[in-house]
Amino acid sequence: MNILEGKDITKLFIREGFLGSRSGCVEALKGVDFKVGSGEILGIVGESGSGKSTLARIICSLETPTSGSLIWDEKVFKGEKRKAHPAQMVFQNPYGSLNPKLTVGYMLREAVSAGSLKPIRNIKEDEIRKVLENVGLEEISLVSYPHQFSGGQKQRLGIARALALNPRLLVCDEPVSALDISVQAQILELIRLINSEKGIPVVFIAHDIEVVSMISSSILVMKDGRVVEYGDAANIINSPSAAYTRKLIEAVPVNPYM
Amino acid sequence: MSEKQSMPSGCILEGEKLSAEYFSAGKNIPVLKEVDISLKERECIGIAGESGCGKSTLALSLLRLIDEDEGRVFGGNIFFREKKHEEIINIAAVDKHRLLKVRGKEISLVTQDPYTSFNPVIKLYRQFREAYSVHNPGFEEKDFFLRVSSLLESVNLYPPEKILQSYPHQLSGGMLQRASLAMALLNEPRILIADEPTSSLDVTIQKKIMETLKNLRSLYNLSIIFISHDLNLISEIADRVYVLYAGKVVETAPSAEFFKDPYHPYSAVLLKSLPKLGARGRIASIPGRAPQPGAIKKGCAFAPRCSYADGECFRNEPPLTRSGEREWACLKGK
Repeated sequence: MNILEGKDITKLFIREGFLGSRSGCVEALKGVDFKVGSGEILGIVGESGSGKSTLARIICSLETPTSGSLIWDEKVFKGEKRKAHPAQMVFQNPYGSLNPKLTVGYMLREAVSAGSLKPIRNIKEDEIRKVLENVGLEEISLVSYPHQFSGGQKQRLGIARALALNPRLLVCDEPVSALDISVQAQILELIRLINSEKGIPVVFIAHDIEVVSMISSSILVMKDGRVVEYGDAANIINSPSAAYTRKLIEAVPVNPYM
Repeated sequence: MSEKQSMPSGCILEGEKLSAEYFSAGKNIPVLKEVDISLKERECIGIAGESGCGKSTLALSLLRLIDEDEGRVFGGNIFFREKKHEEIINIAAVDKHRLLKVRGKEISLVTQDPYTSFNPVIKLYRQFREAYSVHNPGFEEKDFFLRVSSLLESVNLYPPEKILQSYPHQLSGGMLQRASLAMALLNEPRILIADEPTSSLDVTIQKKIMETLKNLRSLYNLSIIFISHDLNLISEIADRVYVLYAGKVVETAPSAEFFKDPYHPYSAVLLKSLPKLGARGRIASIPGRAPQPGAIKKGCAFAPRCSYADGECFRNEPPLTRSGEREWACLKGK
């Protein structure tokens, strides 16, 4: 069963000129269709300007589509008051997505409170520890600030914050592109474990088809706001049908010695 | 500083026991510790390591580009064989005047982000012209234009007139990075230092830049120091690999041997954690994270993350072992 389906999603951004006059528009998404099955990892791959981040923001209702609809559990999504959004996002830049003035404990307390609809003061430390356990950070101090952590640890905190809201879907927008290769592998493995152990479906966005291919069950290839190719991950990697997909695969550096 | 009369034949640049540190809040933060590095004529060496391991600092140190207020390079020598007189100079010790004759002329640098390496409010023409005029006083406008056109052509930027009349923001990241490669080669340097030249670019653009770099290398007989955190990228171009960890070289080997059989456990896990197209299932990674250079005072800096480490590794710092062209610093390795 699909937990989320996007139908014919289009997004126009109006470019504002001098004194707010309209000087044209950018078509960020042009009729994008996709499905996320339960327990699946959908990989979205494309280069800068392909519209992949806009799609992620639309899934999380951070942007409204110009036309088209998002269908959660076979119902058109309108949003429910006082309830956390079913899709939660992990952002690209772990340095910019955590409030530098909040302690890690307070940040997660807020998130747990929003997810469980309990007042912040009623959230117990156990609940926060449990969230941190999910991302392998059980031993950190709750009174530390984001700057005291490394990039990889910050990205773990970003994932913990998203998980604290009990999402139905985790949306990761380039979660590893700001990280070193060795740390990148740790975060990829963490996302893979969250998906396989908790059964939370994931939308995983990256510009690197190599990274996407390691983790996704299906892949959506985007270029200039359109879907170029969509299907089973192994099929797309082994026998890509679109020329653009082949180009992306050919661009992967090949180690001649291995 | 010592003067050196001879270098191994074919060797063009040799860094000897280079140490570097940055000043921060009244403290000296060590970054490089006694790094030895050598580059042969027409050779390309790759320098790999995680962020904070000192690989960019090494690039800056070789040209003495670290700001005097921010840090210093000390205790080592950087020998460079000058083409003109076949004379060996010590970059670490020469005066400013002599240094300026080497920088940008004999050795040039391409950095990670092309948008910050160009001045955003000056057209490319004037920026190229300035770089040319510094080393060619009293030049003819015609010679300059011929040189620039042929370089822009070799990095696939057409037409040169139009490119030169653009501001940096009018070019895409990939085009601008190619322009900065052209600028680096303006004065026919013999060594090009490329510090993560593709990491801010899209993958298809990355491929083009790598092809351009390989093309330039054979066209102009360049020696290249290629710095990257991505060993797959390094494998495409480098003849030899240096692996840096916490400010020290932990392994050096010719590429063909290194990628088949890394001797240092850190190199081995670094290779295992590289992404592989279509490889599903458990993703291997290195536990923990790289320490700051100098943070681990005793024993091997990699020991806390190493699966082979025992008591000895935590007590004694491993010396560099040498065998043929390979060097590694591990008590447990080969």
